[in-house]
Amino acid sequence: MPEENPDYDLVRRFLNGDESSFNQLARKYQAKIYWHARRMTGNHLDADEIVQEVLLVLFEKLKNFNFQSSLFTWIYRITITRSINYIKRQKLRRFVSFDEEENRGLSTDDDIVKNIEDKEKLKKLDSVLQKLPEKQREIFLLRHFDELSYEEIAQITGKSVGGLKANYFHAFEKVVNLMGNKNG
Amino acid sequence: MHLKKLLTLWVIKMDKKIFDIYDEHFPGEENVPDKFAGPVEDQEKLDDLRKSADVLKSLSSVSIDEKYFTNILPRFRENLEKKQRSFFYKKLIYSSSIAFSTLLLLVFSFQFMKTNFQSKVTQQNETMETVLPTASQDIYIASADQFSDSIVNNSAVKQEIDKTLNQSLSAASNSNDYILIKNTMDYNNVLSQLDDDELEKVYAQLQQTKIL
Repeated sequence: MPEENPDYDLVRRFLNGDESSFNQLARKYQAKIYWHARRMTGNHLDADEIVQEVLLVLFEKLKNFNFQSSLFTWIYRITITRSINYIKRQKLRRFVSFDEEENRGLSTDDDIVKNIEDKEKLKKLDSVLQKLPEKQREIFLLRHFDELSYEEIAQITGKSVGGLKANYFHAFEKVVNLMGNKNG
Repeated sequence: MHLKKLLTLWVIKMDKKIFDIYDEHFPGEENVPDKFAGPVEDQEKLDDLRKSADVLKSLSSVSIDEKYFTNILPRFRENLEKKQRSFFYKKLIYSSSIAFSTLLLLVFSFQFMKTNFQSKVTQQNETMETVLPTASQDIYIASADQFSDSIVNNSAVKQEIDKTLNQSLSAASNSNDYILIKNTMDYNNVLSQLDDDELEKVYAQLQQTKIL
């Protein structure tokens, strides 16, 4: 049985009716959820929608949490599933309404990054990340930015460690080459 | 620019072996060794790889408006409330529609049963009416009886009937095909006076006689 961690206690308290425990959990993980979603989708508005969706799922499904895996793994799994589903929905929506991808993104005033230089940096990163296939992007983000171990990523994605390593290597190579091309 | 130079270097294919070394000593997992036992070129490659990774990470470290994260929870609570409210209304609409449908179904079933029952009763009544005369039929029969009685008791009509009957009988008596016995003889008395041979003859003659 996994070691008892503070998250479990918060979950139990929430399940016993203590709403403030949920707030604590949300505050603890909201930034991680946001940044993962942001890097997956490439823009703030979509990421914000995913954060709200994930919190809602968390609120409704915490009663199903089995205390067998760590809570953050569980939250990541929800975030990844929601992000990929969201991207698919957006693609379909764009295809149906013939919207341009450029219509959404960092240019919006709602963006939380106000500094122009930072915006440029993020734009560059996003434009590169968006060129990776979704599944590969997901693994790259989990490994490179969220700094999760392969075992943790395997737990989240359900893939083998060997497959994940190979995927990460190819993603890394592609990202570095794309960055080089953008700068060259 | 240092970044540009670094990244241009990495347009060439990455060395999997060097990458594995970098990946095995990934920050947060194990302490990254400053030097590893290998050729100097490999050491340089590893350093470059680490720098590229750092550059990538630095692109993501940006200053953000912290208000956004402060507002996530209040907005979530608001959304949750909206969702719960809409869920309540949906549930209400759903249960009302179910109740309404059930009520409609009951009304229709009741109406159908009533119609069915009425038609059955009507059908039964019609059958009964053919067997049992109704009050109107009684009146009709009574008036018909009264009419026939008035005819029978009427002396003029009686006389007319007798006359017509006598005429018909006399006309029939003239016919060759029929024998009309018109007397007031006591046949039982006559038959008792006949002996067996005579009775046999009469019987034989009667057998040959065509009666109507």
